[in-house]
Amino acid sequence: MAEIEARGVRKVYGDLVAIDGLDFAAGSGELVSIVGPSGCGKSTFLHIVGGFVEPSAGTVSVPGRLGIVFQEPALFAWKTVLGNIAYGLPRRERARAVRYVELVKLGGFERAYPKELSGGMKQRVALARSLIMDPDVLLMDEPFAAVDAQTRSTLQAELLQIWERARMTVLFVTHSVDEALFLADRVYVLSQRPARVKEVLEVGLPRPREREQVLADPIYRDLHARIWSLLEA
Amino acid sequence: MLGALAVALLLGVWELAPRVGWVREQSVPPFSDVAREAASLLGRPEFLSDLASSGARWAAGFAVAVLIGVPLGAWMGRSRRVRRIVDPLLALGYPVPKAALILLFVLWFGAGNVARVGIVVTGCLIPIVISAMHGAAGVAPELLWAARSLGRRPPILQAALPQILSGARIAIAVAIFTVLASELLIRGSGVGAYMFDALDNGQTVTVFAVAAIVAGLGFALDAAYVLGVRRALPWLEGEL
Amino acid sequence: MRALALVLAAWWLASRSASAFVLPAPGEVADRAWGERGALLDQVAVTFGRVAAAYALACVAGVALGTLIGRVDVARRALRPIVSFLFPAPKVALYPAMLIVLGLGAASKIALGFAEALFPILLATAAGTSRVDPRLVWTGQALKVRAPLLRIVVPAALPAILTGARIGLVGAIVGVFLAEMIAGADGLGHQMAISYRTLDTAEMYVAIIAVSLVGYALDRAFLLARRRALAWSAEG
Repeated sequence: MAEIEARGVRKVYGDLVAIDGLDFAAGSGELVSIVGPSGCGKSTFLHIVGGFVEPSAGTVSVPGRLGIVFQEPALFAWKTVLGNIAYGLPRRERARAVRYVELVKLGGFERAYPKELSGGMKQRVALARSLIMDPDVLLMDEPFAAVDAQTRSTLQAELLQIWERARMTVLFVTHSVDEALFLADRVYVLSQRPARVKEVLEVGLPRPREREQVLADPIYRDLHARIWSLLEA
Repeated sequence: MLGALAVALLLGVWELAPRVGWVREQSVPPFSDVAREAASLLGRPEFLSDLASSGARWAAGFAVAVLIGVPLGAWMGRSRRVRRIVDPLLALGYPVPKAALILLFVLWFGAGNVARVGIVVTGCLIPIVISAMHGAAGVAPELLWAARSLGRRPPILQAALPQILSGARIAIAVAIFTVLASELLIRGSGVGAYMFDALDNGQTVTVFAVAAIVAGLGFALDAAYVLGVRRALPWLEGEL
Repeated sequence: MRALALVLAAWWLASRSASAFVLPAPGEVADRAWGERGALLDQVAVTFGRVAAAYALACVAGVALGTLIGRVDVARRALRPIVSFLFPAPKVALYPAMLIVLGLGAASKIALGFAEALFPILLATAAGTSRVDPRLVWTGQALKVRAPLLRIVVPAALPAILTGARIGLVGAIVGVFLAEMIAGADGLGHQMAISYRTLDTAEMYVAIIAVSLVGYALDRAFLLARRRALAWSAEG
């Protein structure tokens, strides 16, 4: 399992400074969340960490294999659920995909096409597609933002279950404070654009996390209030 | 069912108008005469061979346009530099009536099949290249990033396929139009030539009958294309 | 503009290596055009007079029928099969029939131009008017607006209609020009056909460039008018 390290990351588009010197670190097996207001540049930062976008300055180090789940489920419309999940595998290993269909609770939908799936189901496929590659690092860019509240809760819980077993390093970007606190070991709070780190908070909630317990926990309430005040400042 | 009624009404008017004297029978033959002639034409060897010639030109022109146009358009879609050069060229070519180029092509390449197929290719290239270009340019970057993170090459053609298929549908109709126009202009062989001969010989009913057959074929090819694509590609969503 | 220069340059270069018969130099074509500019302008007027007539008819018929199909369910269900059948049919196939019915004069040319221009306008109007936000219509009803079709629906659908109208303009030009080429007595298309038969290649180029230039100018003018007409909308 690998660590993520980013130092002095800066991203400029012409005159627009999207990210203004970000330092970030995630230890091996940690689930770290990045929270910030919409449009602050957190997605851009994740794209830089993933190597899809070049930073204007700064260094990023992500040793090991990378998996990624985007907000819009970037599924390949011409492939079935199985085809999508197996997309990164060599031919002889394709059969493994069946187990991952079960893992994300999509049993029965192996031969369905993306056009037949709901938003939540598509994200499950996207998740399975990344997980089957045994990634050391999993990047998630507001993956549950476009999904209804019920489904979101379910998916969060399932993500935690899967993560507890696989224990890859996870970088989870979100604009939902609730989500960040429920999932993460640590939370980075970003400012408005240009993005800078306002504060890094340790989330001292015990694992495994049950939603009811977490919501009742005073640590949760304190952290929640703290993050909100940071975001509103 | 309302549609069927409307069609029946239209055909009814077509049948009656010349018989009753609303239009001259020599100008517009009644529907039944035209239908009978059309059926007879489909059994006539000279017509069928002309139909085959036209069909071959249509198929060849369309195929070449797809083989050249799809990769070209996709390449253009992914390269901003290429687009900046080609876009104004396309805009310039837009108002040029492609039909006019028929005579130029004959001038350059003679009256054989090179010119006839060449003009079809030229006409079809535009919708195909434009749709392939838009399709390729419009692929969500996340899709390509996802493929990259999975160790695969960017699936640009597959992602652009819905758009390409739309362009091809237009190209089918453009090809039919271009083949027919070129045959009406330079004659020789083909359905257009057959039609013009009938016109010269005053065979009004034949002229209408061939027109009806061509219209029917255009409709049938389009419908067959849409059905065929849906069946071959069940993952496709939305309009074509 | 740079593209134009590029094309001219390429043309000039190509004409150096090709025979003057097949590909005369741009200078030669320009001289020819200038030398007969009076007659040329007459032909341009003839052709584009017909284009104007065909286009005007197509706009009126296309918008009227399109609005009918887009707003009146009965009309849509009744007319859809006929429109779907005629749309992919090559209109030029009907041209010989038009010649029979309308003769060799301007009427048949206008008819083909009309047929080519009609469908893009009709389909775009039908699509645009059917998608007008119903709340706009309800507001009009509440305010007791008279002639809501004209005052609300068509303006709301205008962006879509104008997109179809732009394609229709090209159709009208193509239709008239082609009709003049196939069987006509005057106009730029006829000029092209005649010069083809008399092997007067420079004249062929004059005709094709003339129709393209005027067509290009009309397209630009259309885009300008479109921008002004849609200045109020998000698109403009």
